[in-house]
Amino acid sequence: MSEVILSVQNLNIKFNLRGRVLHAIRGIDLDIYKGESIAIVGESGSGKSVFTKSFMGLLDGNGFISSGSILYDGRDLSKITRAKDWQKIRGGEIAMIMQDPMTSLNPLKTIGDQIAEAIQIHQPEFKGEALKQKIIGYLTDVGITEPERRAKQYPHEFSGGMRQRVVIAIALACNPKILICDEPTTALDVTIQAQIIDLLKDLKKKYALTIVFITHDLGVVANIADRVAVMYAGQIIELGMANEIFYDPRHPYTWALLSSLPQLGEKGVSLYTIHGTPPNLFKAVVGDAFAPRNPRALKIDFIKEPPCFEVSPTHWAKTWLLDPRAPQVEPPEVIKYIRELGVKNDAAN
Amino acid sequence: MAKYLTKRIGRSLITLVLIICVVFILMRMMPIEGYFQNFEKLSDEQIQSGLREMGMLDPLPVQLVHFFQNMFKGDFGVSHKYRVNVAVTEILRDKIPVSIKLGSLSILVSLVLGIPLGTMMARFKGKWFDKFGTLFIVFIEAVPAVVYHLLIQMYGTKWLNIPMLFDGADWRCWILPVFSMSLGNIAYYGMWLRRYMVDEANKDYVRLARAKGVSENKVMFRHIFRNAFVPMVQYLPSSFLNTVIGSIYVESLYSVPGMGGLLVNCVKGSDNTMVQAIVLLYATVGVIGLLLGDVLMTVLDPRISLGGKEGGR
Repeated sequence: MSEVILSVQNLNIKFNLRGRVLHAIRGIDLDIYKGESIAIVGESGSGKSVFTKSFMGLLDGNGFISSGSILYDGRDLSKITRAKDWQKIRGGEIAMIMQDPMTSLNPLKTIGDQIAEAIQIHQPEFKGEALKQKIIGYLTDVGITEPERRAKQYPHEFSGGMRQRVVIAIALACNPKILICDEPTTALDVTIQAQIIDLLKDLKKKYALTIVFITHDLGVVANIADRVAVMYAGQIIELGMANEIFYDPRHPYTWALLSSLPQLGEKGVSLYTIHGTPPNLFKAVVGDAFAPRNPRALKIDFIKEPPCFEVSPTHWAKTWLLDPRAPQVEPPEVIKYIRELGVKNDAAN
Repeated sequence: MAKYLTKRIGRSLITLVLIICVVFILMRMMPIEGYFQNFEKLSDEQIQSGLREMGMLDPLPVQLVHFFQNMFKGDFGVSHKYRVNVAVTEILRDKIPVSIKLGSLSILVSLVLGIPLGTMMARFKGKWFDKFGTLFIVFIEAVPAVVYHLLIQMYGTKWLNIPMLFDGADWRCWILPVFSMSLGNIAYYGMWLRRYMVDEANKDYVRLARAKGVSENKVMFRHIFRNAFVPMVQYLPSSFLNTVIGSIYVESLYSVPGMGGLLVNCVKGSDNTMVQAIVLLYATVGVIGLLLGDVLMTVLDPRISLGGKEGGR
């Protein structure tokens, strides 16, 4: 975990919507290290998907990068405009797994053909029998039994979990260095979710992948992620190692997010919910975007945007609470409880 | 598949028999003038003896059995009004090939022009090509066909220096009728193909294909087009049928000796035997068209299994 594979610097993404401009990503800095798995969490509309789609030039037609850069392998992806250049990045360097396996396969092509299509683009050296073997190899790797027979079948002959495995096989067949998993388990039931997560962990090792995981399921995050980035209103507001985020969260939004975990709820007590709605990104956000929903907000939160305060070399948060001049604010009870758990864990190790 | 086909063909045959029976019975309710060339001048005895001769005084079921017996021999009776005492089959034999040739050529032209039109409009959605195409489609759909058919005839014959009178042996004479008949279908195919392709383009598998690094043209043709074409294919045989039958105006405009208008003329003239035969012909083509449409769809879409446990569609 030393070499930076992809470096995002002060990235801003805007969308033109009916004559108005929506500022979807508001200045993100993030280094992704080779071989790590980083999870990006946040509620719907926080910009998780848009952020990662920009790595592959897959923003919708009305979206554009207004400033900033995405450095990968010595080039700035944000400057690519030609479709031809993107085709080399897409799949071959960065591949993506999408949310709904039921709709992400072409219904009229056999899955063997769909995997072959990826191999032919990114690994054209495999032809004929070698290509066939390669397809069977990928299907075996993602845990599909009888790969030879299954390769000739159409997507509708597969169950949801099996289709997600096929989608993963297609992504692998592109031979990527970075794999973006955009909520890959959201559409699956719980037992299948666990299998897919385990599969991704195995494949990450085997293919030396860097995985970017987008999810709002913190259970999944705890299971797979080395690092966690918490997003809110188009910004990363807290970033740290997974255990730092889970046991020592610092941003009030992360507190709120963790407090709403049903697993931490007490019997007889209503589950915690975050009041209000995310800010309207058509308007300029003043101060801390989360302040209006934050019962512990300081006055300055409404006036000035907080900078990033370092908690540890690997952990920072964007909140005025970490400023030395800030008053001591008590985190919610649940957070104190999990902090204690963390201390105990450390002691045990 | 074979099992489904036999079942399906069997059902089609039953449909045809029912259509024949209904048409036959309806024809018996028509005024008897239609069986005689000079009805007004005939005496009652002459009419009665004429009807007896034709077997019209037999009970209805007997007549129906006779009709079926003759039909299998290829005998549909003789025309009484359109061309007196000429066998119906002989009249149709000359006309059917002309109409089918005209219809086939026009469908071919419609596909060759309509499919690229729809595809390009979807590919460049919102760009000038799309706008131009939409203008064309709206014009064709909104303006009564008579208007542009006439314009094409007036200016087309002049510019291309084509004789006004149709001559089947001269290939130049086919150009304008075929083109006129195609315009509607070109607009129709273009409109629907564009619509289905735009629908497909927003689906997840297209996004995945793009994320794989597939080039935009290949995404368009390998993924979007094939999926968009499935719903279109079902209607191709029926639209072929409509083109063959529905060319009344174009055929009469260019005086093409085809079947266009034949049915209407025969119904108007109460030429009952002719009506019977023509309706039977159209019904057969229609039933075959629907059958072909379904079979074509199965060939293109693996999700549709005909027969089998699910019982097909």
